[in-house]
Amino acid sequence: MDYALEVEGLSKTYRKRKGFKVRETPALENVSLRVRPGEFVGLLGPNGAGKTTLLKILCTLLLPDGGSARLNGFDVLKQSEEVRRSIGWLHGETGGRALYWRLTARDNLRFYAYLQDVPPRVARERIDTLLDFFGLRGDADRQVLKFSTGMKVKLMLARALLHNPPVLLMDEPTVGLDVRMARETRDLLRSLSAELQKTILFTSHNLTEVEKLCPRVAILHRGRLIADDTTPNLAARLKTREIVEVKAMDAWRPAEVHRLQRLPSVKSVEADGENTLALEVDEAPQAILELAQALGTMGVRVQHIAQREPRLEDVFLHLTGEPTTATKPPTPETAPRETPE
Amino acid sequence: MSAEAPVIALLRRPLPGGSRPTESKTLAVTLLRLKIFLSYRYFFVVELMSIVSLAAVYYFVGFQVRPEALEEAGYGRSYIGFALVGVAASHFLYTCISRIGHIMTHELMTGTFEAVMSTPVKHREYVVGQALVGFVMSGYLMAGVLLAGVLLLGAPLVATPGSIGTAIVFVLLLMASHLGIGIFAAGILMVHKKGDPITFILDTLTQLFAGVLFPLSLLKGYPLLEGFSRVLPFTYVLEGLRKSLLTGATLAEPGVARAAGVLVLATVILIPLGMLSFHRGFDKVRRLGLTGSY
Ligand SMILES: Nc1ncnc2c1ncn2[C@@H]1O[C@H](COP(=O)(O)OP(=O)(O)OP(=O)(O)O)[C@@H](O)[C@H]1O
Ligand SMILES: [Mg+2]
Repeated sequence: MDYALEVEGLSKTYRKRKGFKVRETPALENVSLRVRPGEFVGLLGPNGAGKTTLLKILCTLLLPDGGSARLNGFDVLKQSEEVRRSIGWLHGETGGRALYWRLTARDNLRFYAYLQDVPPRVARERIDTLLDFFGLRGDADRQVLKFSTGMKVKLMLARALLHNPPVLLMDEPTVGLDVRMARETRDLLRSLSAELQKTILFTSHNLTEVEKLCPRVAILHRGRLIADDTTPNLAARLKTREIVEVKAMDAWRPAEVHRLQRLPSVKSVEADGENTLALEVDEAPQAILELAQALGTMGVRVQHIAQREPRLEDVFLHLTGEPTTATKPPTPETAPRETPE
Repeated sequence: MSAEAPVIALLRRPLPGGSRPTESKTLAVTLLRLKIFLSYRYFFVVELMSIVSLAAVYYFVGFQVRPEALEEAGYGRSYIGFALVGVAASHFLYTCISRIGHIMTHELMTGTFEAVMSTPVKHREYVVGQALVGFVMSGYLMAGVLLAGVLLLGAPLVATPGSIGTAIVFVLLLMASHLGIGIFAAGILMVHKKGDPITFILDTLTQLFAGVLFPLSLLKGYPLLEGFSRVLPFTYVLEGLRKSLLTGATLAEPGVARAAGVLVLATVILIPLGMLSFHRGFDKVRRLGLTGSY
């Protein structure tokens, strides 16, 4: 088996009948992706890009219209039972919907261990160790309905690992986790990939996290795979462009952003954190001069202006090319900053 | 660093042995559902109250059918006994045909359906597992109704080893022959989610035409209705249960044995049909992307 994941020309359009009309929502168009055993791939894309759709097809919960997909050597359509044995799936965004809320954490894990054919003795040991790792040992015998969102996500993570599957389909696993737990989960995923050669497909809107974690990144945009490369290669794509970061004392006004956009040396403007804009420019030194002048005439009080290395986030915004979001408050794409690891 | 070392070390260890036999997965589903039931603390109180009120209602409507009509049909002379068996069994019937669908719809809404279906559980394990809980709960209710009828209302039931054994056989046949219908309804319900036409229609028809509250001999003058009652499996369940519990008949009696045979036939035909409907429903929701619809 050369590939742990082999997706070939996959397409999916959601169809919903409304009276006599059928409403169609294209979600995936001709997506192909090959992942070797042990690879750790970040799957990125704006909201509605088709990430969850792809992962659901891979875990046999959604039937595609066209194309094929093999997981761990098994066809997702014809060998769904083998595929289900091979995957650990998690949909973090649902906030614990995979769990029976009226039951305890331990009962939930025990049940899913049964369904995954884990022998009871092994299951007991794994449940204890996983509950320990996720800091849930003390809550093991409490009903899940009394858990916080993050605790439920941790429990879903434990559920995905119980049967030690070779492929992990992690749909926003860190959503809702606090900073420490998010980091520990990342460390765990990293070791699962490095030491146990698990194949991991990982989605997140936190690009800083993806950049740190995934050696390879695939970007979906409106159902198409628009990039698939190593993370350094992707960042290098922007090497012809440079990034200048401008942080103001106050919030940016639309008119100000608009004027910056029209400067000859500025290619694009994106919001990048609190009162901060990231500008794509041809040559940073010259652009900084031009900017300083323009900002002076506009009367913007600048706190900080400097060139910085292009980040995955810049590449992402460049490739998915949405109109500027500079004047909106930070969107999920502008990931919350964390201390470096 | 390595706070995760224990997890990695644990998962590095190879698994002993192979796969668990499927029956225990069915049982796992049953136990899970039972635990959820019992997590509702007032469950037993509510169920007990419904037993008593059911028995009371049928005590008061118990004087509409002439004893002669019952005797002619071969069910003894006591209407309260006749109605009691009918009502107890029809509650059980309702459970058989609605249970799987209702629990499944609930699981679709809460999201656990999707999670369960992403594991290697077979459809039959899932549906039978859910149905078994219903059988256990309704069995308890049915026994309660019969007991309350005998003790409070003085319904003259025949309790010999033969009659009770035969009655138990018919309860089992009731489950088996209606399991397929329940699975079938669940397959339809999976796609449409709201409303449950199959259960509603079947339950109503059965109440009316299978003779829950009157002997079918009263339908003599209406060949269409009588014919209709003859194709409902529940008609044969009632026949077997009443003959055994009201007159002490056993499977040795030709009429009773024939009813049992019809039910075995219904079981063999309806379960595969039900599974077909369930598989198709599952594929439909998998096409629509609605396995976890909120
Ligand atoms: N069950 C469904 N029925 C109809 N349309 C759907 C369904 N599920 C998803 N879609 C649509 O398909 C497209 C892709 O959705 P998908 O959930 O795969 O996106 P995503 O990349 O996971 O987004 P997010 O980052 O918000 O999680 C969207 O346009 C969405 O509206
Ligand atoms: Mg998603």
